[in-house]
Amino acid sequence: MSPSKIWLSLLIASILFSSCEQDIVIGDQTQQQFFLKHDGAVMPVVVEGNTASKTFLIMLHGGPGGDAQIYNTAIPQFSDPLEESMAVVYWDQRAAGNSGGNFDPSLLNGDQLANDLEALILTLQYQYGEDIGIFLMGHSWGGGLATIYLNQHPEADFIKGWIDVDGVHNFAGFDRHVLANFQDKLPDMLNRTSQQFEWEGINNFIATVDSNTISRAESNQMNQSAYFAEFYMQADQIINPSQASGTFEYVFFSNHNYLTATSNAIISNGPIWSSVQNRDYTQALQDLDYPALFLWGEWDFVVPTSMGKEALAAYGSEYKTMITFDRSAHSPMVTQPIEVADAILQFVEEYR
Amino acid sequence: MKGLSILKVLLFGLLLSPHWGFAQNKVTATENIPKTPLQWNFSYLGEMGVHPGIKVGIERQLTGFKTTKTKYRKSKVVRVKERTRVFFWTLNAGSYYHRNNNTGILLNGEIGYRKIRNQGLKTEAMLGIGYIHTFWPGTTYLVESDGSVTTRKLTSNGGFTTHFSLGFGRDLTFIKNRKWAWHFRPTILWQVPYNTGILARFFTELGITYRFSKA
Repeated sequence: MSPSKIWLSLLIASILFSSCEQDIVIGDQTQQQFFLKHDGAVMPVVVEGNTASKTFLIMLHGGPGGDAQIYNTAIPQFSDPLEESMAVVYWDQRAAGNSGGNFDPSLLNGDQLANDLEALILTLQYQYGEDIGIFLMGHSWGGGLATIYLNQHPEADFIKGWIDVDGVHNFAGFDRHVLANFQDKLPDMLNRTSQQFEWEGINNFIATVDSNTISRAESNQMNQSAYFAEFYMQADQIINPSQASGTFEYVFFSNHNYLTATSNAIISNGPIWSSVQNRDYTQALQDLDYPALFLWGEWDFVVPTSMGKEALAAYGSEYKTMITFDRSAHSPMVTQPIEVADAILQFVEEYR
Repeated sequence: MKGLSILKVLLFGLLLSPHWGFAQNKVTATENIPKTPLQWNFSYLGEMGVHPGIKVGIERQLTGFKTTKTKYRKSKVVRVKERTRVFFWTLNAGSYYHRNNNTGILLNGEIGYRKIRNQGLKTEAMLGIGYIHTFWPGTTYLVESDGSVTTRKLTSNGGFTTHFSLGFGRDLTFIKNRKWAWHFRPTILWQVPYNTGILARFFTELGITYRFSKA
C-alpha cells in the first residue's frame, strides 16, 4: 500500500470516528455534546447531569469572551452537586471559548448574543421537549447577558428563575460603582494588608481617577487592579484560595483548545462590551417578575456588591434574595464552591 | 574583582589562550552539492502537541552547497568543519483528531532552509501557506430566523493558512549516504477567516524523511 493510500484511509477513519458522538439521552447522569449554529457562529454546547429532571440550568460565562467548560471541569465541587439535581448546560458564546464559524463583525454585540441564547433555548426545547423549565445562571458578563435576554423576554413561562453571580446590569454606571468601591474599601485594606506596596500602588492610581470623566484606559486599569487585588487578598487570607484544579488536563487533554479560546477572547471582548457600555437596565429590572437569586463575593472589586444591591432593590419580583459570601471575591463558585452550589440548589428546588 | 569589567576579563582570557602565539591558517572551500532525489516525509502531527494526527509530504531540494573550513597549525590540519546548507520546498497533506473539538485536514506548501553539521545534526526553518478544513464532531443544530430547528452531521469550516516552523533533527543523507533522516518541528499556524478575525493554532511534528528513489 502506498503512503498516500495509508494516509487517506486514516483520514477517512478519523472523520467517521469523530462523527460517532452520542445524541440526546434522557437520564439522571447524562453527558451530551452538540454544536449550535446560528447566524454564522458555530458554538459548542455540553449538557451534563440529570436531563430526566426536565430542569435545565444554562451557564452564561463571563468575559465577554470567556468559556463555559471551565465551570464544569475545573470546579467539580461546584458543578457535580448541581448536575445530580438538574441538567447543566455549558455553552460557549459567539467568538468565545471554542466557538468557531465565520460571520460579520457587526454581529459581535450584546443583542446578538441574547439572540444566540434564544436559539440555544429553542434547541433545548427541540431536543428535550417544550415542557422543560430553564434557569439562567450568569456570572460577571454572563449576568449582563441574562439581563439583556430577560429584558427582551419579560414573560417567558419556560424561564423559572434567574441566578445572578457578580453580574452587571448597569453597564453605564459600572465604572462609577468600581471606583466608589475602591475608594470605600482602600483605607481598610491599607490598614490590614501585608501587601502594603501593592495596595499603595492601587491607592495612588485610584486617587488620580475622577468619577465624572473615567476614560477607557482608566476603566481597564481599574479592572486589572481589581483582579490583582484578589491575589493580594488571597495572600492575606482575606478570601479563600482558588479551589479550581486540573487546569493542566483542561488545557492539554480535554475538548478545550487554549489557543482558540485566547484568540476568541481577543476578538470579542472589546466589541461586545462597547456595544452595551452605555446601557443601564436598573429601571427595566422593575418589569421582571421571575424569581431571582443574587449571589456576590463580599470582596469583589471587579463587580462590587453595590451593583448587586442596586439590582436587588430595583428588581420587580417579590421572590428575590441576595446572598454574599464572606470569603470570596469575583468568583465565589471558585473560592466557596460548595456554599454557592448549596444556595443554587435551594433556589432551584423552590422554584422549579 | 571590583573595577574589573567583563570585557577586561575576556581580553585577559584571550591572552592566556593556548591557541595564541602559534601561526594558524584557515582555508574555506565551497562546493555545490548535487540535487537529491524526491524525498517523502512521514510525521506524527499533534495539534497542541497531544491531539494526534499524521502528515505526509514530499520534499525537493532547490539548491544546496557545502562549505568546508579547514584549520592548519604548522602545516598540520587541526580541525575540519563541514556545513551543508540546503534550500528546499515541500508539499504536504495532514490530518489530526481533537476529541469533541474538531477533526482537521491541512494542505500546504513550504519553502525552507536547512543547515547540517558534521555529525548530521540539522536545524531548519520553514515558511508555508495552505488551507485548513475542520469538521465539528457529532450533530450540529441549525436555528433559522423563523425559529425552526434542523440538524446536520459533520458541519465544517475552512480557512486559508500561513505558518512558520522551526525544526531540528539528524540527517546523515549527505554525509553517510543514508536513506532517511528524522526531525522534530514545532509550528505556529494562523488561520483566516475564523469568526471575525485570525485564529492561531499550534502543532508539533515528529517524523522521518525517506528517499525512495535514486538521484
